[in-house]
Amino acid sequence: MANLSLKSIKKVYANGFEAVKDFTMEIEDKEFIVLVGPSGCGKTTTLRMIAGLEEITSGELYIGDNLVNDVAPKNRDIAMVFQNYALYPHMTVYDNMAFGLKLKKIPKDEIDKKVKNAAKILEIDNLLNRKPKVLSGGQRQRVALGRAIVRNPKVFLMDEPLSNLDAKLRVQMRTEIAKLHKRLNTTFIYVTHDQTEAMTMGSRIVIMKDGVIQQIDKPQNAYDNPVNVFVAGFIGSPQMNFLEGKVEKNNDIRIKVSEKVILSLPEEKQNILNENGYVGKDVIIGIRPSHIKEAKENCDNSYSVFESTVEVKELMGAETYIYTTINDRQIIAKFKANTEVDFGDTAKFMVKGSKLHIFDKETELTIF
Amino acid sequence: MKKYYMHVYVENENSTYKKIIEQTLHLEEITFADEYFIVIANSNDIINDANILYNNILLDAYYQTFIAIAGQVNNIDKSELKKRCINIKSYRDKNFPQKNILNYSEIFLHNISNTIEKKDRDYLFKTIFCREFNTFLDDEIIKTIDSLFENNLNLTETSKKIFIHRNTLLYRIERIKQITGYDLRKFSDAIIFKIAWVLKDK
Repeated sequence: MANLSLKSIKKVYANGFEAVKDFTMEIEDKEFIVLVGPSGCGKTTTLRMIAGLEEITSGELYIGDNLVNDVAPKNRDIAMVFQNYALYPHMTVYDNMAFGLKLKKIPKDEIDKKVKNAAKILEIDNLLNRKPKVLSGGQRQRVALGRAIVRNPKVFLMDEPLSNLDAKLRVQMRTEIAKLHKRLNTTFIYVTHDQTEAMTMGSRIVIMKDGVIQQIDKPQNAYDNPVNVFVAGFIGSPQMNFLEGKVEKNNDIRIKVSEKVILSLPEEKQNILNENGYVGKDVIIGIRPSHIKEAKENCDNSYSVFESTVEVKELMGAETYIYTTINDRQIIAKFKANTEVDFGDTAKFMVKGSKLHIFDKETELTIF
Repeated sequence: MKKYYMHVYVENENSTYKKIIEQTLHLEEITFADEYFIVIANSNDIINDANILYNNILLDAYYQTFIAIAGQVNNIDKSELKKRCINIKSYRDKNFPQKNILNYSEIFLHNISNTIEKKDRDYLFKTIFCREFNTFLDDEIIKTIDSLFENNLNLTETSKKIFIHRNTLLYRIERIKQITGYDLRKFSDAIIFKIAWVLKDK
């Protein structure tokens, strides 16, 4: 069993810098957990504390039923995979995978069995006599995975293993790692700064910022229901658009961004703003680019329509990204591929009220 | 390949560390002193090789080493290179304890900024850190500037690393130029801005 329990884990360095603040989470056996966030958010530090490579300043870490705060890394039954392939350039693939086991003085025949088994899983059994220099990026990363697999760990810890690969290979290797997870049936904890990777691979994702967990959730739910502005802006590509506006009440409740941009809301959302005292207050509005479209003729009143000048037009093939500025904020909209609007035109944009995300301006927490 | 001098900090003179270093780098020399291995190795990309070494020691010795790279050996005396590495370790322990690899050239700018005359420092500060810029300077902008320097002024890499659109990054750079007069896309402006940026932390 390789469930993990992290209770109020904290990491403070000697110079006072708090890299991780109060990290609490239960990880079930065999889960694929992704820690995601920008550089410096504490995700790698958290991974290293799980591995035992960083001392935990305070809090408790359990692997299975065992408190492991003071257990040496080699006794935690974990294996790590990194961004920089961690291969020995002068050794064959076989020796690369065997080296760690040789250092532990594992018998030769047992090493042979483990190496060949791992090579078969990774489909690199035909490469065992080759050296890293002649391997492709994807093959090298498989060998790095092989070095981890031969240890038969309870938990795999992966620190941005695909960051060095080109975009096409990254997509391919994501699938390989997801398949590997199912095949090995072991707990994976994966660190990445790439939100697309997190969304496609994790059974649950942990979004971090400045050492603090922002949200732990299934990927789709983090996308649909972000808890705050940071998560909303971090998950999703292109990034969510943010505007500021004032909640106004006339006959109904709307949000005024500017004289030309007034956003209507469905009744239940109006009620939420009213009941929580937001009328007359400034709020932050989040709109995903896919929810800002080219206005149709006679669109129904669940949509708000406004005009703005097209500043950039990016042809993506299946769709067109239109850039415009509203109140000094750059906004990206997704129009159809065959849109006729062009640079410099005044385009009509429409947004459905039910697709708006509204955040408290002071706390940046989600209102809805 | 070029020849580099570095210190690899370890717990003790365990042969496991030595084996890992020997198998990872194109070694010329390796000796143990106090708390580190003195390593002279050939490399085409020393930072990449240092990262691989760091990871191999982590994976196979379960130890988080620190690697101080003094630079290329060339005609520099070994005692000078040794001093550099010790300097690097001291600088790292004081300022960036979470850094695992540090090259001498990274701390060079910090060292020379100490020698700038007060009147020149004051001029830089007045020009760049004016009230308008200080108001503009929030966490996002600080992160943008740090990332731009870390990514060698590469706009695509920077925007990727900090999760903003390239156009948003360009907009921020334009604002910095409007306020301070320094265009971070131009090397000559960027180097002066960088010195001011380093000085602001002192």
